Amino acid sequence: MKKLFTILLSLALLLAAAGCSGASSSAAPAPASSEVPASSEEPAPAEEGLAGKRVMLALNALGDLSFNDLLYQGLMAIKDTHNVEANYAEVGTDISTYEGYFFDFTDEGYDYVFLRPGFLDLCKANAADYPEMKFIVYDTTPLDECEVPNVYLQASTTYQAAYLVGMAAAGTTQTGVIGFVGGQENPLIYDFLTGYIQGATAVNPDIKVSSAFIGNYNDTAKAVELATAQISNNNADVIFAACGGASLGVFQTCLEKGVYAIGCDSDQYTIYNQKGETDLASVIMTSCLKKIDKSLEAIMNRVAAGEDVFAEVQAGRLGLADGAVGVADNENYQKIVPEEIRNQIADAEKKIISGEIEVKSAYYMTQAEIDSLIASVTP
Amino acid sequence: MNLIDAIGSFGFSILRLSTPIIFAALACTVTKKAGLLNMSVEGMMLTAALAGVLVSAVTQSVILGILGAVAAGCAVGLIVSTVNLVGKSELYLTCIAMNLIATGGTTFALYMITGTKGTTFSYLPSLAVPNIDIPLIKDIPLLGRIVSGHSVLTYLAFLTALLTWVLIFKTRLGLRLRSVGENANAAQSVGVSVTRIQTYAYIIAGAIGGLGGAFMSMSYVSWFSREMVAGRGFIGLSANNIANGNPFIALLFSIIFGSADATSNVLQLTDAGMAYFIKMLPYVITIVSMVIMSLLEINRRKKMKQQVVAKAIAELHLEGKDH
Repeated sequence: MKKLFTILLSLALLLAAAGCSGASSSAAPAPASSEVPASSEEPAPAEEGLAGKRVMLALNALGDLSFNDLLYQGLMAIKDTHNVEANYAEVGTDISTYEGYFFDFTDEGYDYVFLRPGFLDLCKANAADYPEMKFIVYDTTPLDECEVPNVYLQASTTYQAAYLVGMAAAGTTQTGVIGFVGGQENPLIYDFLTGYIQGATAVNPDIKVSSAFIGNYNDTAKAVELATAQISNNNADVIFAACGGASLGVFQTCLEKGVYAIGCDSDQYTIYNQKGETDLASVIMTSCLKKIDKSLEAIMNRVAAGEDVFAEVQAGRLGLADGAVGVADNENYQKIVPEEIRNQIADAEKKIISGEIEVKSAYYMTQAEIDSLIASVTP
Repeated sequence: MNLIDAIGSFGFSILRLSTPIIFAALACTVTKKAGLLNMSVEGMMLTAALAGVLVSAVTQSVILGILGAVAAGCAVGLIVSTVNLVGKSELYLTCIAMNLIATGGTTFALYMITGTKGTTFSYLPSLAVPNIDIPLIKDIPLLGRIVSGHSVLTYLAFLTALLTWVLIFKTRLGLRLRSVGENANAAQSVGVSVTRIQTYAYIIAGAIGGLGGAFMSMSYVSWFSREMVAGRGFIGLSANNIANGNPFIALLFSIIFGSADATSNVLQLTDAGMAYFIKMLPYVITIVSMVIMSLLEINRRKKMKQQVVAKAIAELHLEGKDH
């Protein structure tokens, strides 16, 4: 009996480990080799000398139909343009395991390693020991800095895209109240919310924005409750879901209640449409795009062009000008958002790039400023 | 904004938020009566949530989906009780391990089946438990808005509280459960198999927890997403700890906790600071009431001891007089 128990327990632990942290602790988690097989067609000629370089992308986990899947797309695009050897690893969100991954990567000696923001401290401490490798930490905050000469930090100007979807929401609402469901109350999500509010008030100074936070990015049921409360208590008829995987709960509620939703990070309308979920897709009027794939591409293009991006200390913020953020322009957007508003949005896009419209980022606001901005539009 | 509508929607939210907590609390009640704390209810619910989605997607039957969820919950209960009672492992560690297995295992299964680690949505055509309107009541303005139109499982949650009470206090099995819980040695001495009764308790708890899991993935939403139970099992466990094995008090506290959740959700829209205070309340209530209850229990034992001692002394005196 004891033996049986021991076997059961070992099995159980194995299973738990497998499920929690990707398929294994090595850098190759996918069941098939994580090295992406060379595409059948002849790859584009690599003119810049990145060909054959080994690239590693560390992401949380594939399949979120959002940020992580976009990262993977970016990796694929880099592979196609520069003919590099593309690898990826699903490292999860548990920062305590990152040290192991980090040294797995350095043991492998990849040429370019894209890392989650949780790796930043490890990079600061250890990257200098591996001068032949280049580290790119993506999706950091714009306030982050790293002086190590082979580390580049990337951040996105998501507030610009949030400003644009805020305009779309304010231009589409019938009730004059729009909603926002965020994941956690951190600068990353506040950056969406403050941009959203600024954009909405630019279109309609009297707009009301009802905002709420789930506290994590998984609890779909809570997302359902918060969206329901915004719709029935505040009369919101457009809800911006910036809450990762839990966004699905917001979309479902919007579908049931007959109001519109706005997606985040990737073009959620197109994704769900492709998956055959046309009903759900039909309520997603647009998405606030953080085109992390374009950011990765932009960085590699600059590297390929011979630019020494790694010399930069402050996180480089890629945005509208680089095509790294934006508003999802698809048939639903064309159908739902009035043409006049769409033209205004296109106009605002140019003005933000030229600096004529200045959108404030939550990263450069104090908590008091953020709170008073939120309070000023609370219904 | 129509006030009646807002209140109605708020009341409706309370019942919907309370449902998984009620199932979790009742699942704990059964084992509590048999003398064991069911910390694995979170894992039971999560496993059941996935099983419900899988079975309903494959069979295209809601009933079979629910039964699948119940079976999965029972299986988890059986594993925990076997490991604990036959394997003689530490119960709490077993439960913690089981919860971790459920978290990792369901994500692993999700990945094996759909190739993603996020959600079954758009990969598996799983079904949802229908919502039902109660005739007559649904036409009453405010009450109808609150009470009618819920998932079948929500109504079943309230029924389960009643059934759990019947099971514990009105059946042979319930009597044995209680006797094992009150004093396992005494029960053993009159021929009740403690192991068997506690195993039954865990399997029944698994069935009830399984319904809670089915509610999460087949009612709240109609898909499974990783870690979707998100601590509701533990909140149910707290509700039961306060109730100390009484199904109706467990039901009451589940609803109180659900109300705190609903209040915090609505308050977030206007006053975020207050919302977090309200959100904290269930846990404060739990700790305070557990302290009060354990003080009462200590007091009761003290009194009982005094009575026993007094009785013994009195008997000694009597014996002394006889001689």
